[in-house]
Amino acid sequence: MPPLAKVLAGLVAVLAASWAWHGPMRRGEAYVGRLEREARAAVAATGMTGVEVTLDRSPLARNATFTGTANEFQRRGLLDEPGLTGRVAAVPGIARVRWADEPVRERAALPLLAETAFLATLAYLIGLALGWLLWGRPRRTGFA
Amino acid sequence: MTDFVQNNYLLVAIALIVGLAIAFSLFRGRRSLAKDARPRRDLRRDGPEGNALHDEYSAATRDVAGEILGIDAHPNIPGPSGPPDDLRMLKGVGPKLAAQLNENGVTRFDQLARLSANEVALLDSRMGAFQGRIARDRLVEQACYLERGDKDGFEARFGKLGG
Repeated sequence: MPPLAKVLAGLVAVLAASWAWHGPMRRGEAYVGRLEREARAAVAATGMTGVEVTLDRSPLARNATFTGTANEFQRRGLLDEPGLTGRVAAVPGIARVRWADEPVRERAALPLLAETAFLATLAYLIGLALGWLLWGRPRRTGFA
Repeated sequence: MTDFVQNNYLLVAIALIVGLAIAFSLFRGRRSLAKDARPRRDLRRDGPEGNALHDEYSAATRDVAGEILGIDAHPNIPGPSGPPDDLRMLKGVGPKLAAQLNENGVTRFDQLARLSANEVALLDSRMGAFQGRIARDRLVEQACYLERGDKDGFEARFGKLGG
């Protein structure tokens, strides 16, 4: 098999594994579910009611969206006191936080499947590079 | 991002291993091929004259004796053992050089591959305008690959066949 075909076959295998990991093995859904629970716990810790936070489900993404009513202080906080936005943004794994009734200010995070595929591809390329360092690097065999 | 990577550590590990495995098959295979395919004179099959040191001394003695006695004491290049090969497949060999080799009785790769150092010198002395080309173009080394049918080894060392 030509070298390029081997590299592409490996890449296809890795992408297929990413898809299986994300979809049929339900790791993507479980991850977003966990982030959502943690985001809700952060909101609940403030004692506020009438505010709901959800993560994108179609497609799955690490974007948290607030719905409900809250004033500017409750949303953004004041001085050292973080608001709801800051508290949820601090949850490890959340990529972006927005309010449903506010205009979109920043770009949404990629769908989780794309992020997973990107991460797996990166790891695959690192594996190839390590392999090259171990076995493919030209080695000096003399002083010439 | 760290949390995302931690959540997918098993997938990351699998992808890393696949990458390493592909790299292994790409690079390790190529290195061992190049290592194994490299012809070494001591591993080449002997022709009638042999490649050992004492064979070379023996041939040299015959040359000197032949010169003193005024006769051609050195045996000719071993004859072909089958249908002729296309010697122009060897890098650096064109129609004229191939014809010159044919004139000297060399028509097959295995003949070239089995030449001893003395036989190479003898053949070279008969190559007329092409003297020095056997060594310069490493024809014996090239012939070692082609005689074995080791196209990959040949191409790894000398470049694409027919290119």
